[in-house]
Amino acid sequence: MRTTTGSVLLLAMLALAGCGGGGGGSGDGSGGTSGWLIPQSQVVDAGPGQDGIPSIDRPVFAPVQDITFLGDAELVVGVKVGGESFAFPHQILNWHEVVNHTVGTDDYVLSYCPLTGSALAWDVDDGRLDPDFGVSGLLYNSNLILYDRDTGSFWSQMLEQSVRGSRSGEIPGRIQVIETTWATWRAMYPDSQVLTRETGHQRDYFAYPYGSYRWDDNLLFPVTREDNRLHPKRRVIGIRSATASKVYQVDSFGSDTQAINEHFDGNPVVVVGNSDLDFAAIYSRELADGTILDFTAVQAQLPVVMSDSEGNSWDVFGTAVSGPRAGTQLALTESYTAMWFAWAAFFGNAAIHFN
Amino acid sequence: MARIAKPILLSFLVLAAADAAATTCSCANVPLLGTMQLATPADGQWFVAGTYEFHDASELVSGSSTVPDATGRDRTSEALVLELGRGFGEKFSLSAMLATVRHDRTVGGLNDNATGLGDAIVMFKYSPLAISLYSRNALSLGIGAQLPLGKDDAANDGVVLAEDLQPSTGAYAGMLWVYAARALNESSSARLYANATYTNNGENDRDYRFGHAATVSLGASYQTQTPWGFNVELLYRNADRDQRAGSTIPNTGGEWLDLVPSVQYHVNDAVALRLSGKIPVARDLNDELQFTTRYSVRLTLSWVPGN
Repeated sequence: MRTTTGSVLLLAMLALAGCGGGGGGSGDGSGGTSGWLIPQSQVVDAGPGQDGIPSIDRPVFAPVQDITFLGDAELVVGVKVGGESFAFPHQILNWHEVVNHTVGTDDYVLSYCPLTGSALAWDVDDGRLDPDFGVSGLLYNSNLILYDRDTGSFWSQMLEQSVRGSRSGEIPGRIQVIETTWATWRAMYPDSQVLTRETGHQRDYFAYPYGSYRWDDNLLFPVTREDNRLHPKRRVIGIRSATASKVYQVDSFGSDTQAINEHFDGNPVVVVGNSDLDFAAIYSRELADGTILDFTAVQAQLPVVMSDSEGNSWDVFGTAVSGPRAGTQLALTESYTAMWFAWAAFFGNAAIHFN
Repeated sequence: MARIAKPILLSFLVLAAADAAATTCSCANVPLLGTMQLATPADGQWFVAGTYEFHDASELVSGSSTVPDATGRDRTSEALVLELGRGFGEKFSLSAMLATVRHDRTVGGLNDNATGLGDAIVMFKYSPLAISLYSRNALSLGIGAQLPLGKDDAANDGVVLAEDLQPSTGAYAGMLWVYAARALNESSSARLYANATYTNNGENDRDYRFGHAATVSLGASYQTQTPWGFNVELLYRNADRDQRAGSTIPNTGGEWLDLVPSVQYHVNDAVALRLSGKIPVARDLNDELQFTTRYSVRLTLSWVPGN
């Protein structure tokens, strides 16, 4: 009996230890077998698991005037799709990170990474059986990696590229997003629709899920490079090309709207922003016909934020709303708002614009 | 939640007696080999125990309230713990524990899992008081270390899994342990006991540190005239937030109060089986959202060679 008891214990220990001594996984959406386009060793399992942070797949919207749960200073992410404007409050995005939305026949995915403060919208209306995206539970440079539910491919949000799977290397179509305060958005687009808290999930949307992370110096996950020229959580709008990147601090534009006409990596761009109103955007100044415009900031006429020497007025989404070129859309740039540490980690040696 | 802790701590201070119960400490869902038997082997005596534990940590809790989880998440852990103990002299003993662990995380049909050796614990115990014909009180003190002998870099498809899915914490830890008991009758078949542990966790090579944790339990046991014995325990646990490179990790740490009933069957003088469960009573998770214990079940087979 004594020998038997001891043997059983030891055999049981060895049996459990012998099940592989490592990790494993199974199921759909593993991303296929192709390699990562980013260093695999720097891809981090953040803990929740794939879809552990649930995307919003059937978003419910309400008119601006019906929204009572947002404070004036709270940030929202705005888009214009199919001729309509929509706002997505950070207080909801913090808990879900991905919203799959269809407007008419236009499918797009809006993603927000609370750890890097970056919001992007991608046109995914490409005829796939399931155009939806989800949260993979993985991070690269502390930034959200999405996966698409059609092929299971992984997509780096800030690189704006599929980084693993059958769609590896694909770059999604961009949709311009504007991140600003609820008060500014409301003033800009009072007729817009706003994502409500009818998400299908029960969360304390008034609570910020990451403690003091928004303001403190600390990162929760490792990044490939650190740059201490700015506070790590400073909100910047960055622009990048294959060979260069540059950032503008959102809180450095001043209380009057500024329009900065300059060249980035040889291309004419305009950077428009206002610190008090808390918005920033970067567009190409070169039109399809080769014309290069110079812009002047426009005050107190939201959503119009700039005009040009031809007499056109342009809104914050870069659309001419009046003048001879009314209806013209400025070309988008590879630019978006993010926390400085994240921009620096992804796009090293970024130039910093100082007023 | 402090209102939960205070009465337990006060009660602990006034208790004294002896038993052979156990306490479990799970840290961020990683079983930390808290499955230590409280009995102190006699001089020269060996003590062997094997424990299987199943831990379901699929309950989504916001602060102190359970919230529905539409993600269908299933988070479980299994552990096999082998403990060897030996007495030295009348008042000293040494316990060593080694675990193998399997963690599973399933969300929406996608499963991640990790299996392997977990941490080991070596605990040196000093027992100045023991229940005997001449004393109804028992007191034991212990100091120990957690050794990261196991696997802490388990990966799925090349991506290292999150810390709470690793079989081992990958870090050393220091541990303190106090146990006191009092027999309520001359046969000492009825006892009250209290047990407290403190774990000071170190940082692993990925700069991750599980939160320091303290547990206090109060229990009562009754051994019938038959081979059957019964036990009920209130277990309070307080854990600091985890840290990475010195930064606290949100949605970790908190306070838990669990009810731990158990039943024990003595096969003979040398071998006993014990079945216990953990039922959450209250928790306060720093007003944050966490997946935490829904329940756990443990089966222990203990053997005292020579009895």
